[in-house]
Amino acid sequence: MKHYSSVGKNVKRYDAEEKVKGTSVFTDDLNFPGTLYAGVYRSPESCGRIKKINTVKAAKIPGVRAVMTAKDIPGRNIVPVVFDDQPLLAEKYVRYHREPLAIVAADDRNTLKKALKAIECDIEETEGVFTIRESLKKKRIVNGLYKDNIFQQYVVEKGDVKKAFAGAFLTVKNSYSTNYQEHAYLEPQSMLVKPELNGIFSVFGSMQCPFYVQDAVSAVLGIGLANVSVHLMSTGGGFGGKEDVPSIVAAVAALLSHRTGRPVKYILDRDEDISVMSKRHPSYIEYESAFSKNGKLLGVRTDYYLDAGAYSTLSPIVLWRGVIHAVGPYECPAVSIKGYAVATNKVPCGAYRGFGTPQIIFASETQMDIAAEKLGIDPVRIRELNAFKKGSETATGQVLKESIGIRKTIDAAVSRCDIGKTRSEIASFNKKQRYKKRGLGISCLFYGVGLGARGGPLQKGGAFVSVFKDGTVQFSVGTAEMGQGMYTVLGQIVSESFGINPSAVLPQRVSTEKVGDSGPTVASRATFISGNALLIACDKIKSSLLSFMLSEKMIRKASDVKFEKGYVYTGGKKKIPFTELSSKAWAGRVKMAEYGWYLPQGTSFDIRTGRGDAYVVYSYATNIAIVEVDMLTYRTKVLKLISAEEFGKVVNPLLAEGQIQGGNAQGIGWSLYENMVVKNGKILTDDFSTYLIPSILDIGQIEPVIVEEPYKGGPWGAKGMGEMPLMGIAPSIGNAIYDATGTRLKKVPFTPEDICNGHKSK
Amino acid sequence: MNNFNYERPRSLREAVSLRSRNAGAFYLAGGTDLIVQMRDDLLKPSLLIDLKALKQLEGIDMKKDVLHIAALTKVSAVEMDRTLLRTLPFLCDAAGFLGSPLTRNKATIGGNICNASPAAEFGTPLIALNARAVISDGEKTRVMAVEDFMTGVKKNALKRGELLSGFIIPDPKGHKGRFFKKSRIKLVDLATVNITVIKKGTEYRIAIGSCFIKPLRIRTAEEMLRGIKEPDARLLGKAARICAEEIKPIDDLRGTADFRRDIVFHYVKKLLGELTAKGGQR
Ligand SMILES: Cc1cc2nc3c(=O)[nH]c(=O)nc-3n(C[C@H](O)[C@H](O)[C@H](O)COP(=O)(O)OP(=O)(O)OC[C@H]3O[C@@H](n4cnc5c(N)ncnc54)[C@H](O)[C@@H]3O)c2cc1C
Repeated sequence: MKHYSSVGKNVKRYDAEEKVKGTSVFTDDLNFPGTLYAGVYRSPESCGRIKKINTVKAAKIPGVRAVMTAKDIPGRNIVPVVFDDQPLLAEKYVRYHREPLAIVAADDRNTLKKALKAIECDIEETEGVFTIRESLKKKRIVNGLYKDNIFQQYVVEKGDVKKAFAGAFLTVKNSYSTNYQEHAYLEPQSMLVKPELNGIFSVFGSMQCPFYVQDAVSAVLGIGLANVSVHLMSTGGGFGGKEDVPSIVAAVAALLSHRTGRPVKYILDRDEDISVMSKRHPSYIEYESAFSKNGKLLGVRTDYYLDAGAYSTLSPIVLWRGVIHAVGPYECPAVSIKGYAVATNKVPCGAYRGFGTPQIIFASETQMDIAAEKLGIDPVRIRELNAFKKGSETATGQVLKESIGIRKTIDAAVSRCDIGKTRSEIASFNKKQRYKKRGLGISCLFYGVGLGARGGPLQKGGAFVSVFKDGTVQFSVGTAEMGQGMYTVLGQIVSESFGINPSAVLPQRVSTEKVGDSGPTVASRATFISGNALLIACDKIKSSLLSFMLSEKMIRKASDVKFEKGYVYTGGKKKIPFTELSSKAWAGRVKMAEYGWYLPQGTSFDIRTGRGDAYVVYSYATNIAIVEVDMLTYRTKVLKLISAEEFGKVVNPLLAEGQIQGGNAQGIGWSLYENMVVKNGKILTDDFSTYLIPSILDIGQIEPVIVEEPYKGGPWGAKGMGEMPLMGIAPSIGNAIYDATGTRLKKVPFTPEDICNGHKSK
Repeated sequence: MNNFNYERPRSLREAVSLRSRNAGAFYLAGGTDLIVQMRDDLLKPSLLIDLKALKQLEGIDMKKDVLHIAALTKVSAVEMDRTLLRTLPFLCDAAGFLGSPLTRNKATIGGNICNASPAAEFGTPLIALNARAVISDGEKTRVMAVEDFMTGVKKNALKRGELLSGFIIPDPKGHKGRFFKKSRIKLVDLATVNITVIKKGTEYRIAIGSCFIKPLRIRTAEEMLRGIKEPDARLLGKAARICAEEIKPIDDLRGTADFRRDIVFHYVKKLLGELTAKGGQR
């Protein structure tokens, strides 16, 4: 095995100190002279025809510098994503509650507030469509562009499903539903746009996808992409919530900046952020599984519906990922998966850690548990029996060739939890206790790394690396640091390449000025894509250094050279410090700044049949939850969550554990606490006293277990992992609640009321 | 938030007189209710009268078997007070369930009762203790039961020109009690239901919060148990049933009315059971 000096180490985050001290610079910390404050006037109705928007009074208020509606947009009135069906400002119809109608810039926040209150609108309200069921009836159409209320549908078909079900020993059929999830990032959406000389606009903000933002600003202003420079500020969390919607925030600020010629800051209040920004899609799922007597999965038939809201935004690709992952990490010879993204008169849903998979994993992993019980097979055993191995075929017919860690994660989770002992402890606890019941539940999952075949032209990534004459290194990439620690992980990848200390490698703030459009920072792709692009750039520099050393007769042949521990070994034990080589190479005018461009290869997807090699590679995880249910209040407490994850070679174990801890906690939130209440399309839980996210006291003990199964195609063997820790938590907790109480829950979140009703109905 | 004036009076009299002279004035204690409501434009005071300079309004004191808790005493001080931990630990428990450590370091016990939320954490322990509110007009004081002081959702019995200076708990010794809070998450969440039960000799008191426009004593249930040293499970069940019937909860985001009745039934029974069990501590 290769010996690593930097990869695999707990290198401290570049930004650790500034975060702890509070000196990180966020968008709101920027204060350019003359900055105006932006705000949005929003529709009071969920659905209707706009008759009039009256901004006259607002415009007259002293200190108000601009009031704009759709007709004032110099470019195109769109939010560019996939289908471009969403206007930035509604013009004829409103399709969801609080849809933007007008925008205002004012000298200060109080004036802004007054102006927003002074705007009036006349909307002829019509009856909206608020549920998947209503939408599918097609009595009322949300958006004329989609006559059947369906933004997108997919099928994945394989094998003879009818035969599989007819010949099955056991079939299990259930329906499942899940509610919204709000990202609850610490820092709300924020953007500042500043006009520069020569018709250029600088955009500073909190985001995952600088190139999306560049697109959006260029579109609404009707100016070239070259006139828009987007700079990433310290970003206080994204989780998918800063994938596409920062485009809206930036476009609002840009329009007002364009109009007034002044810097404009738009920072959302929390209630506005919760009610109008994207969320995890609510879902409805019908799921049917067929098993042989000995527990082999023979067939899956499922219909998967996502409640997409009023515009398609990212729903088409969220749905696609969900459909691809619908069966789980199991061999299954016959599948029929149908997925639908359905229009409703509600806030558009979008990306959220897991991207359409947590919902369907909840269904598929609950099915597994039900089947295990009916077949009298241990829930761990039934998963082992069906789990992918080398040569297994996925639902889309992709043959898995390497780095398949699912079995390793099952073993690791089971042994960490000492499952036999834990189960007998639970049994004796339950015997003794009257009011408290404990249970254990398991879930398994896999995750396609990167955008996959439907990512199309976005599947690419650039990087720039520059070695200075003192041997220090700077790098730039096109993916974003949003708190996950990407800068640090990529720094380790670069320092490993040059065999130098990670402290000598420094990231540059991400900006569209530094590297070409590298696609979005989503799909757990930053380490994989930017890491590979960086290594390409590093290799180019190293090859120039080799030529230089050859020409200077420092070495006899290139294969003698090794970059290790701060030195360049030039044959046998001969070595020179990397710093010295850098300085010599500089003097020798060697090109030590290079650009790397990485393209993942070989993904495919046939839209008619749903067959193809959907993703380049997959990561794997197994979760075991141990819960305690209070049988008087029906409150569920997670005592312990063991999360064993395999994502190739781990670059920074501490950061990876941080991702697991955080993802698990969000998963617990979605499973037990976060319950968005929406009435006639209006979100009632728009703050953290009504929409509850768990605190440290509610999440129990989380035990990350990292399992390695290096992948040749990854940077130093790494895959991607940011999303997995959230994805399978709901079924592990649901299965544990069943184990504890005998109540089978098919709706997320698992509220005390639901457990109570389930208990009483027995 | 609107613009407002701010005063920090040095005497009780000055504070009260500022309030009398300004119709739109509000007292500011910890501000954890007030500022939140101002941020949401639910309250638009013209003047804030900051009481924090009035040191006589802070502190916990046991004088001649009467316990005094001044209005501006921080919730965290109640939570960790040595005397209280010994004599009335369930009052400290209630304090410990309010908000988060950050909230408790700012919030005051007086603010909690003046704000008069049906879910107020100190509502049930104080009314179960027969605590009395001490009201000052800057010169004279008057005293009334906390139960009557809280008059409805966000309403109290103070008149203009008065402030709450503190609470007295007569005869605090010999109470066994239990405080219980059901909330959806543990940190920073208001109660779906909160309950205090007390046993003093063979006298029982049951107070329930978040199930009516203000915290409630359930006297029919108390009377039923009075004089009985060790009520049996059937009787406790009956008392709990009465509690579940007498409350008037509503459906809201924190829970349905039915769910609240259910919790009240189970928990009143369980808590009373704990108090009356042989060797039951506290
Ligand atoms: C994050 C958070 C979590 C919370 N969690 C809880 C919880 O779990 N349980 C709970 O019960 N509450 C909770 N609260 C509400 C609040 O913290 C408490 O009610 C607190 O005790 C109020 O005290 P205060 O000193 O901050 O009151 P303030 O906000 O200063 O005052 C509240 C009201 O009482 C008036 N007032 C205050 N003192 C006097 C006085 N001496 N005389 C006359 N009038 C007075 C004020 O004018 C104002 O109208 C929470 C609040 C926050 C912000």
